Amino acid sequence: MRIALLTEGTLTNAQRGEGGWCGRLVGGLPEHEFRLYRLLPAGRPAPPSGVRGLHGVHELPMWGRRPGGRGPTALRRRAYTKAYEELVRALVTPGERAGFGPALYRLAALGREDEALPAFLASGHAHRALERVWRMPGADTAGGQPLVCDVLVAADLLEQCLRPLSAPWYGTGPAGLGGADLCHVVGGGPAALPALVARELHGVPFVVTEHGLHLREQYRGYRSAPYRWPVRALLLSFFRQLTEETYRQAAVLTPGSEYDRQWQQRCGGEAARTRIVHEGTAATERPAAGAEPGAPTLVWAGALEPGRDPELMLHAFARVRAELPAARLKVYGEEGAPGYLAHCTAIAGRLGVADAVEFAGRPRSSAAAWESGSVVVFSALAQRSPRLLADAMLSGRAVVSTEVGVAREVLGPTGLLVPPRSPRALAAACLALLTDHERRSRLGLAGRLRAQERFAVEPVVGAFREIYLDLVSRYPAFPARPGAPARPFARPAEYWVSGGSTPPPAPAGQAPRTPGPALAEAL
Amino acid sequence: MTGTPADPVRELLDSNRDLCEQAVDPLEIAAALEDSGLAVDGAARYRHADVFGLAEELYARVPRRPPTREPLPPAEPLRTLPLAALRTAAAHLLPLLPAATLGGLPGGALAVLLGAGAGAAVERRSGGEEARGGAADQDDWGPEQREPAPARGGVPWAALGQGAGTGLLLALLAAAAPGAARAAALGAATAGWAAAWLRRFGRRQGGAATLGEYRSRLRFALPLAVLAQLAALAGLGWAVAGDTPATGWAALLVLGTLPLLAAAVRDAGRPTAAAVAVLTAAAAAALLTLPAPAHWLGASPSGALSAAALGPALLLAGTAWPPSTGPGAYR
Repeated sequence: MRIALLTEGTLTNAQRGEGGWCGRLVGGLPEHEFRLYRLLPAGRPAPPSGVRGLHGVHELPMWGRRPGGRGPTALRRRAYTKAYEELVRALVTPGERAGFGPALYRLAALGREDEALPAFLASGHAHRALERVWRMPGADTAGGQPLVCDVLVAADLLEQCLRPLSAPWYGTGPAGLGGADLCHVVGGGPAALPALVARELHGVPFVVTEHGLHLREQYRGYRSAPYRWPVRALLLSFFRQLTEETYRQAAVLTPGSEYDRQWQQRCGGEAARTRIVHEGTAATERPAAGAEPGAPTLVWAGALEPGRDPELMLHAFARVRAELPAARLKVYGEEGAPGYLAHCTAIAGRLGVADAVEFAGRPRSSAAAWESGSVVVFSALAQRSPRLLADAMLSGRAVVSTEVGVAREVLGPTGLLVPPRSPRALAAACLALLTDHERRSRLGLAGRLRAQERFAVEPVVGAFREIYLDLVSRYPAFPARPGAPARPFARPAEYWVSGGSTPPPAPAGQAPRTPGPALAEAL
Repeated sequence: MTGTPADPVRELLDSNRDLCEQAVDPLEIAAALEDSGLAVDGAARYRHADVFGLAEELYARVPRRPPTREPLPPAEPLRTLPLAALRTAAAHLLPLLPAATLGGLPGGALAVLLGAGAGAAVERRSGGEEARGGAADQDDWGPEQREPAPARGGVPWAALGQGAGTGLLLALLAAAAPGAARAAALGAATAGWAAAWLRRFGRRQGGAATLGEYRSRLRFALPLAVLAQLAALAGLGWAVAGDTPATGWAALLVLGTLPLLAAAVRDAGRPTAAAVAVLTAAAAAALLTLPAPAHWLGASPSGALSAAALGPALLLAGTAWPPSTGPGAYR
């Protein structure tokens, strides 16, 4: 099968190593031909993708200075303006949300014809269209009317977000998305735009895998972004419409956790098309942590920032220390908010536990961090990603966590869950484990087994092997002509055995069998 | 005895009033509530099945009230104006130096080279708004180190060309009327000042309500800047080179205004047009000062110079004015 992996290349590789999630997927499914399509920040050298075994890598610079190019001719500009106005209307008028998808595809179609879309979106004509629709009566401007500076900033941001529409990827050749059997969007957001266009244009189905929802991150990130209210409203509306359209059109959604699934369902992902696939990690191969340290030690891990609430840990530790004077606390992680480390140190001093608390910074490896303690504690106010939690469970140490986000589904019965913001409950849970060696080791082992079962790489690869096969059996190999119904199972199973670039010799008396896209063109 | 209050959401609403008033979408409230530690059982305390239902109630119960007096995007501070003036003056005085001291062909060649170098050195790069994503740049242990964006590479051909043209024009003027050349190079300071003021003024008008209003505010900004530059040049000319003939005055006024117009065109996003205009003026002026055409025309060298530069200057003015009234020229 020819599979196009679409991803926004910024959330890369550094900590995940060897191509990260995509690398493990491609490595686990050598029978398929993968091509990687990446959206990258412009003006910066592209980091290597690190994924081995790819049949091609295609990159598109996004975010940053607009590449040169001419705008549309005066005649075609009207069509552009109309499509753009419809897009903006779908963003700002609550009653016209349904127009988002068609306007998007119309813009993409126009841009494919004369490649003038980026220049148009940056032009004064687009600014005027945006302002006209945005200030129309009926538009949702509850937070105040947009000013000229808002129009300019929003137009700039929209232009950057829509850049994938004018990517040179939509051909039916071997390098184009039209030549792929399915698209796999990793990460959502603008990376889904090419998949949406390919689906509209060539009927290529797509899978969406998200670890940490793009839309939720936008809501969180834009709260501190330096944009005025109208810009924030317009852009978040754009991301929401884009996400809803993506979930509506996706053949299969594979969120990384039940917690993410609820968000996806809220944004229009049907339960029937959703399948939770946990994020596999290579750490399942790691041996369990060795002997516990001599003194009873708590390990806290994560970036030092208010959202992870190390303060709660310090307060709870003060109570633990009152009961168990030998107890120690190791805090791993760098400060995520400026000055927060000093703040935490001051709190530890005020609580009188400064001599027993060690702020150890970023650990050599996560395994070393877990090994240095007897119990691992997470006191965050929100746990959006299961990664760190699963990694701690794999060490075989008992885990205590606040019951937020993914904690309950990841830990299950193998760890202690306490309500957030409650030092008393956290201290009680820590004490219960620190004073009971048997219970600690039993929970630790159970947690390790549970994490090994759920977060291994093999089930992920297996799940996607099934999903891919299931998808191509339901979708025809080539787009049905308008009017003709799509015929599932129109191709025998052998058709999908990719034989490299040369098609198998045709039997006598039969038309030579060509690969799907070429056939589609012939039709 | 204290039971549950009749309206438990009310307390939550009061403690999160700012968030609810400024939210653009119920999902934004949901994300913020989850960030503050509210999970499913927390939502149950407020009689909702999940956080989304609670967020929708909050969104519906609080009227939208965006932050009052949100700051406009900042314009450049005032102190950049004298800096810009100094830079432009330096870029013009530098090529004038060899042209005035050495003279002749070597002086002219050196002036062209120095002009090109100075033009490329003071070239100012501007970029549009860069989108910022969510919190993707953080791994589990702390902020991920990001390499800073490297300076954009490539040879600034337009700046080089414009600088070279300026150098040649100044060298020619220095040969024809030394006093006027000095005045023109000094006048470049006010041209730089005026261009920076125009840029700043344009940025500060981002608070206009509509694009139409913006245009009406900016309509006479460039003509005013040009008039001010002409007045400044006249003053300088009178102070530095009072005994210059009329053709020298004309050359001074045209060449002194050229940097301002070129800067306006460059800001409008057409640096190549600015460079081509300046180079055309320089080439035409050089052609007209060759012995044969000069003898044939019978004009004085400075007159030929002003005649050669007038056309490109007018063209530049025509190119600069329409875009200078739009916001696109001030990004």
